[in-house]
Amino acid sequence: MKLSLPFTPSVLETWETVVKALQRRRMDMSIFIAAFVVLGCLFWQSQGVNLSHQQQYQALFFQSEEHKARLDQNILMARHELFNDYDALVRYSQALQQDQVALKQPPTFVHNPERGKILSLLSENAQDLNHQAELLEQFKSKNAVLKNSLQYLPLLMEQIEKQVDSSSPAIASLGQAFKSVLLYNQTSQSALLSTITQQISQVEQKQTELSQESRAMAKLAIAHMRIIIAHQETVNTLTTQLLQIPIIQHIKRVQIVYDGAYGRAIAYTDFYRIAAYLLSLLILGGLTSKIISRLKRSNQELETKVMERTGKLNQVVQHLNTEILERTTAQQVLRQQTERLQEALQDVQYAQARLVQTEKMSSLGQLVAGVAHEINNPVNFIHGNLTYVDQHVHDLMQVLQCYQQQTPHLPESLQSEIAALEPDFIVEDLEKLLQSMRSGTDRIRDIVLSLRNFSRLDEAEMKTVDLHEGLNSTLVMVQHRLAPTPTHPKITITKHYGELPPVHCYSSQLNQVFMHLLNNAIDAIEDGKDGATPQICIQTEWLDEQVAIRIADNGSGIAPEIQPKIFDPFFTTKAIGKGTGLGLTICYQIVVEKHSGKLDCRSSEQGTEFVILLPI
Amino acid sequence: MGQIILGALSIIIVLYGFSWIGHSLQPTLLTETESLAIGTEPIQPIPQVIKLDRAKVALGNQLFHDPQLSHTNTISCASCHSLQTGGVDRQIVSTGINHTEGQINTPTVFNSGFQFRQFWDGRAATLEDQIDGPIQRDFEMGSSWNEIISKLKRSPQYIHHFRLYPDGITATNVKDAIATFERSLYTPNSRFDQFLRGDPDALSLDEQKGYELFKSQGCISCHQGMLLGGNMYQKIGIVNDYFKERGNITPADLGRFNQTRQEADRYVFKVPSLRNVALTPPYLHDGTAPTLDAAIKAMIRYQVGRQIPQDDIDRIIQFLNTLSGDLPESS
Repeated sequence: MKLSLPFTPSVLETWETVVKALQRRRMDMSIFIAAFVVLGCLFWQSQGVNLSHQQQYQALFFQSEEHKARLDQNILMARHELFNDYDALVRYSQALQQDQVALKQPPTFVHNPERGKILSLLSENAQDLNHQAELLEQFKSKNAVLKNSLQYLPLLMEQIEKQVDSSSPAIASLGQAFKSVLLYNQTSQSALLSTITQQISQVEQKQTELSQESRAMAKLAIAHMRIIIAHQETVNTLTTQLLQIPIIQHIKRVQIVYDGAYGRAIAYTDFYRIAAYLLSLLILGGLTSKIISRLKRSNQELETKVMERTGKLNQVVQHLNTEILERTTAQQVLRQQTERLQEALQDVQYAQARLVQTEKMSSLGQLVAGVAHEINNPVNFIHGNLTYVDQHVHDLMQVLQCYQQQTPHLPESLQSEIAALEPDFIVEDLEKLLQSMRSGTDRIRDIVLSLRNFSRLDEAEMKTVDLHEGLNSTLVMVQHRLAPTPTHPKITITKHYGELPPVHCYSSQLNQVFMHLLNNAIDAIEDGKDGATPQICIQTEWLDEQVAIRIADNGSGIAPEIQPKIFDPFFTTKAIGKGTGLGLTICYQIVVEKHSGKLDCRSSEQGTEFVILLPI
Repeated sequence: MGQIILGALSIIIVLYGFSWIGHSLQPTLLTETESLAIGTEPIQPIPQVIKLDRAKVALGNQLFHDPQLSHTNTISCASCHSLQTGGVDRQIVSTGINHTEGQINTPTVFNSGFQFRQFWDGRAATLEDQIDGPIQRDFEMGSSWNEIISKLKRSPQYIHHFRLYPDGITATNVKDAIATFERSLYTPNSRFDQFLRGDPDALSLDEQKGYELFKSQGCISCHQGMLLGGNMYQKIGIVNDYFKERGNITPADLGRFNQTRQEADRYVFKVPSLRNVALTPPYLHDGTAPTLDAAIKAMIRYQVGRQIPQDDIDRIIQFLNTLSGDLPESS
């Protein structure tokens, strides 16, 4: 059902769909209700046979047959036994009447024609029952009388025969009559009846001869005999009639009809019951299918919802992913930028340092150049003049000698004055002094040269130079540091110069390198252990395509964990303010970058060796 | 949801229905109707306990003693069937309303529930049917059911008591109550019953001899069964003609003939019960035997046709005296 805007036609549409849905529901409900009503009807019909009524009614057949049988049994017992109790006859007779009443009310599932048939059979039975009741009363009365007489007559006859003379004809006849009666009792031969009657009349004729008492007894005997012959046949007939009353046959006929009715009713109810079963199965099936379709629908709804939500979630996830991606990329970019910035910063710092250093070096160079230049001049004319002085001194000495030769004998005061002045010593000392002055000026000239060499500022371009010159110049520069100190004795410089070709290089820069390395070596020695003679060894070697310059010291060495860092900018082991940490960095730059060479460091506790490899 | 509930309910109903079918398949037990006879004696002891509705018995007791059941409110059932005097009034015949005489000796109400029919001529099959007789006979209670019911309905006590019947005070219910009460008037545990149940010392030797004589002298032919009678008809005057010798035949003397109009039923009466016989003189249907001795002698002469010496008669009388059982509580 689409949700629609509240425009009138759409409202109508909505209403229609709602009503249809309700109707569908109502239809469903009404179908179910109808099915249940039908089921109820079927069920009700299938209950048509009330089984308890059926069983009770069925039992009546057996019951009445039993009652009739027992009645007959008791009738026979009453007939033939000595003493009897007629309560049983009454009881069974009444029971049969009650059975009859119950049989007249068959269960409700017995319909016409069976019902009519049963009732008509039962009315026949009722007639026979009434007949039986009458006969029974007669039987009881007559049987009682007969039994009494049968029981008494022999006793009476015995008494009579004891009392009365048996020769009496009356008594004899009586005896004969008695025997006949007994015979009759046994055989029920009707022929005997006339005999007995005859015999009795004989007795009656002859009884006059008897005494009153005897006559009375005989009369009594005759009375009983008459009773016997009167009642015997009646009782027998009654017995036979009673036994022949077809109660059981009636009952059996009723039973047959009833069984038919029952069978029909059962078939009827079976049909309805099966129909009810089927209908209930259908209903169950319908319900189940409804439930299943409900479940399916719910399941589908659920799945749709789940998919929707999953879709939404996916979208969100995608969003998040894109965001993450963007962020990561941004981060990366940032990182790259940071790296670049850092590098740039490093470069800038390095450049700055280098610039500063270069500036320092250049200003230093300039200074040095200026100083050297300024010193050079006076030193030169001092050095030049020294030669003249030397010459002059020699000349003067010769003059002196001439004078000495001329004046061997001088005044004593003069001799002592001359002696006090020590002219030999002066001559000797002058020689030494001049020599020393010469060497001094030589040294100054060396230093100036070294300085010049060192600060070959103008030579910013590459030049083919002798590296040894540079080394030596640099050595001169650091000469002052080689002096012994409290911490170490004099540092020995050992040179193992090989044959080197002239190398095309930036010589001033290389001199810087040599300077740094030598300074570092000296620093190491200063830090180093006591005992061993501090030594710096400088070795140069010409390897085919390369030139190797090795500067080794036996100082404190570089700790292994520091070794990778020594070329790092601003890395220094010196106290703050003492070192820039740029020395080796600059060396590295100069050797590796400017000259495409290699700068290696090997260090142990015994000392450190720096190896510069320059390609040529 | 509603559908599911409906479905479940329906399944439950269906299942219950089917189980009910199964239930009704259970067989109803046949009740035992045969009562056990004690030994092979022709006489059985009276049952010691009979279950009856107590409320009905109490109501019946009240009605039995209520003279409102008679037209003149003077005669109740108990007037002739007094529980204090053996269930009879010990008269030759009883007196009804307006001092009218009855026609036949009143039989005892004790153990009357066991009689196979009621009245001397057996015209009533049940105690309920018997009540219709005296109620409506003008020489007995001379009333009618309408009269009685209207009288009873005036009493709030009866209205209250009759609430145990759903339809209240009706003739059927009055008869039902009275009959239930009458059924409660049974007298078990007579010494003879104790003897029958196996106590040999319940009877003296003479009394036992009396019982033997009762049987051997033919009394047992008709006076047999639990009530020593009350279960068959018999003609009075078999060996000798009773009515010829007594004379003055009344309609009541015709006995069953009055009902069946069969000649064979002339002078035929129900054999009376000898239970509590010592309490119910005078004897015979016309009340002409004032004592047991007279009754026995009449029986000897007219019924069994025997010669029985007085000694034996006396012993029989002694036996007959042992037939008196425990009187009902209401007496």
